[in-house]
Formats: sequence, C-alpha cells, structure tokens
Amino acid sequence: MAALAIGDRQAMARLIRRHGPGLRRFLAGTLASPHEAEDLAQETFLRVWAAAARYDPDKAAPATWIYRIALRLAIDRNRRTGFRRFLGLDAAPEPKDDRPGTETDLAARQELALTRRALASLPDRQRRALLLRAVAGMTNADIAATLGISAGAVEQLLVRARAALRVKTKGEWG
Amino acid sequence: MTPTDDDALDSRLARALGPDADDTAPLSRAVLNRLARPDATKRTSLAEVLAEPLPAAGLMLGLLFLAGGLGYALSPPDFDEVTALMQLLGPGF
Repeated sequence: MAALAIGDRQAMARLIRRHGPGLRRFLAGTLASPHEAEDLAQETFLRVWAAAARYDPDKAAPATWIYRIALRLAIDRNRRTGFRRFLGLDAAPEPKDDRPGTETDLAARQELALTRRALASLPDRQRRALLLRAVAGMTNADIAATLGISAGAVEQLLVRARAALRVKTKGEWG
Repeated sequence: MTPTDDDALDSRLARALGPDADDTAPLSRAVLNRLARPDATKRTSLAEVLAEPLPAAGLMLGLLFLAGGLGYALSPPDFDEVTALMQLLGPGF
C-alpha cells in the first residue's frame, strides 16, 4: 500500500494479481448484474489507487480494506441498477456468450446459472459472508471487519448460508 | 456437516463463479491504462453522477420552475384576497 501511495504501478499490478481473481468472483456473486463485475473490479482498484495514501494498516488488513471498498461500490451499483430497472431503463439482459458451445462450456454455464440463482436467493448478509470466505479466503475475523459485524455473527451467517445453498443446489454440491 | 464438506462447498462456489477469473492480465491492463489517463478517477466519478439521476431530476425541476413562472406571469397583476372574495360572492355584493 505504501508503494501504491507513492505511485508505483508495478505494486498495483502485483495487487491485482493477488486480489483480482477473488474480487471478480466476489463481485460476480454480489452484483445484481454479474456481467458488470469486471467493470466494478476495475473501479475498485482505481479507488484503491486514489485512496492508498489514506490507508491505515493499524485499522484494517489490505484485503479487508479492498473488499470493503468493493462492497460499498457493489451496494451502490445494485441500488442504481434496481432504480433503473424500476424505471424500465435497464432490462438487465444476460450477457451473450459467443464462445463455441462445447459440452464443457455448456456444463460450466449451467453451473454458473445454478450458482447465481442459489446465491441470489440468500439474504444479502449471508451471501456476502459466504463469498468473502469462499472466493477471498478470509478468516471469520477479516469477514467481520469487512462487514462491520462480530465474528460470532459471521459464523452464524456462514452456517445458514451453506445450509441454504445445499438445499438450493439439491445436493449437487458438497 | 464437517469442515471438509464446508471447504468443498466453498471451493465449488468459487470455481463456479469465475472459471476464467484467475487470468488477471486483462484486468491489470485495463486498470493500468485507466491510471495512465489524466484524472481518470475524477472524470469517472463525475460521469457517474452526470449519467445517473441528475439529468432526470434537473429536467423535472426545470419543468416545475417553468410551470411556476408561467403561472405567475399569466395571473392578473392585482389579484389579491379582496378581489378573489368579490369574484366568489358575485357582483351583488
């Protein structure tokens, strides 16, 4: 973070390599329009770059700080998407996949659709906690710091989220 | 459920959400390109604000002021409470 604050772009590239994959998956599971995940991941890293000088390592771990920024952006984007859909300005079409439709791709797409439906059925807090654990690999303490709740509450959210997800995926998952 | 089951479910979830998310080169390129542009974040924030509810809210306010102005301009210049009462009560008053 100190390197980012002095404008080191190589440090930014390293940060993206480290947190980019998890962040994209987190946003894909959090956003009402998952195809916006890439765009919002870019926006998150730009915000991180702009605010790096204000980062305080005593207050939060880098991952916690980055995901908190991403979460705020995602909540804001979902609110606006909801408003635009309410006004009829945004029909939220699923992005078209132009890749050749091999069986592997088809299976992956079906699994992605199943995952999104199952995640969408979870309450917001359960979904966020589960995503932070599953895709960002955070500990309960880090999730608690990111979501602003206690570690005990995180454990409860995770238990409920996993149980609900197992029901929704009808045992297809572990 | 055991912790192993939970870990398996978490891994499955992560894989399902982004089979090709591990390739960070496009994301890295896009972010670094945007950083190379002058004032990228400032312009993005401004664009977000301008592109979202502001135009609609501005149009509505504009129409409201226009309607108010027209009403004021078209109303009789000396239309006060006394005139209004006399009109209501009729010419026999």
